[in-house]
Amino acid sequence: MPGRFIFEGLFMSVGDIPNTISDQEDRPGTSGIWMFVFIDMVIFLLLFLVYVSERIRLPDIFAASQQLLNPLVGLASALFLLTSSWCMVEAVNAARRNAERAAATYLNLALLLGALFVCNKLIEYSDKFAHGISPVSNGFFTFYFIITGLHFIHVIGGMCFMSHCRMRLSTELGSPNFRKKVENVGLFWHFVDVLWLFIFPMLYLAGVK
Amino acid sequence: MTKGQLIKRWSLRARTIWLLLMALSLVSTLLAEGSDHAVYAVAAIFVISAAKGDLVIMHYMEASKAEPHWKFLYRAWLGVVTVLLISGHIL
Repeated sequence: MPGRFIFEGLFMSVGDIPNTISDQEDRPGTSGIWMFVFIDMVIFLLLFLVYVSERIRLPDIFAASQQLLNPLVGLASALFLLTSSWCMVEAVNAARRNAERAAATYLNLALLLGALFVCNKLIEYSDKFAHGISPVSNGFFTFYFIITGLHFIHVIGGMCFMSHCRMRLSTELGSPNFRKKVENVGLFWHFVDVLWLFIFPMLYLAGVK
Repeated sequence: MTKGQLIKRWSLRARTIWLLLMALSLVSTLLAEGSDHAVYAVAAIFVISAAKGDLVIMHYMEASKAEPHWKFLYRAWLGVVTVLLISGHIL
């Protein structure tokens, strides 16, 4: 089943392959996750490039449309993700020292903050639709929905991976594979955070005045 | 230094970075809302984003402990994105 393959491949360590896990033991995550995240980063870079080129072509439409976004909503999202990221750092740290209770607490907090981000984004989307703003309203909102929508999917994905780690915590904690799994999920979650660090100012802050 | 002390120190560093990231996010928003110098404000906002991104990549993702080429590539991505966004908003 391809879905299962992708899901497991994302955050399973490659312990079965000789000489791989021993080489990576002291390094955070696996080579696979660093590569996957970097490819994803390049995809977002290309999206940003197209956004910027369209912004240069249609500066007035973009500036006027940005006025319709509430920077405080974007800021709230940033604060939720940054705090969630910090919780994930603590969860990884706890998993490394086999501290089950601390790992469970921080994973729960990271998930809760991720859920707050999701709620915030859904409220924002519904508000936009209620005001007749959709992906086809103009060029800016096409980018707004594509970029934030893709990011939203990454958030949901990251939350699924975190939930998986939370469910397996009590049975798998202590194994090298689980440690790598949590590290990989952490890496992915921090990447989602880094993306928002640029999406937030790009869509909500810059060029509004 | 004992293992417990190391863990506490590591945890304190993560918390300090988190507070710094939160503060920088507030500064960015205040800059966007309150500055009349739009061009400088935009450049400053993206430079702050790059600084935040670097903190997350180096300390939270621990790129400094990863294979050296990942540290280089991730930082290069930050640089390219920052230059792209600043130039795209200033041009």
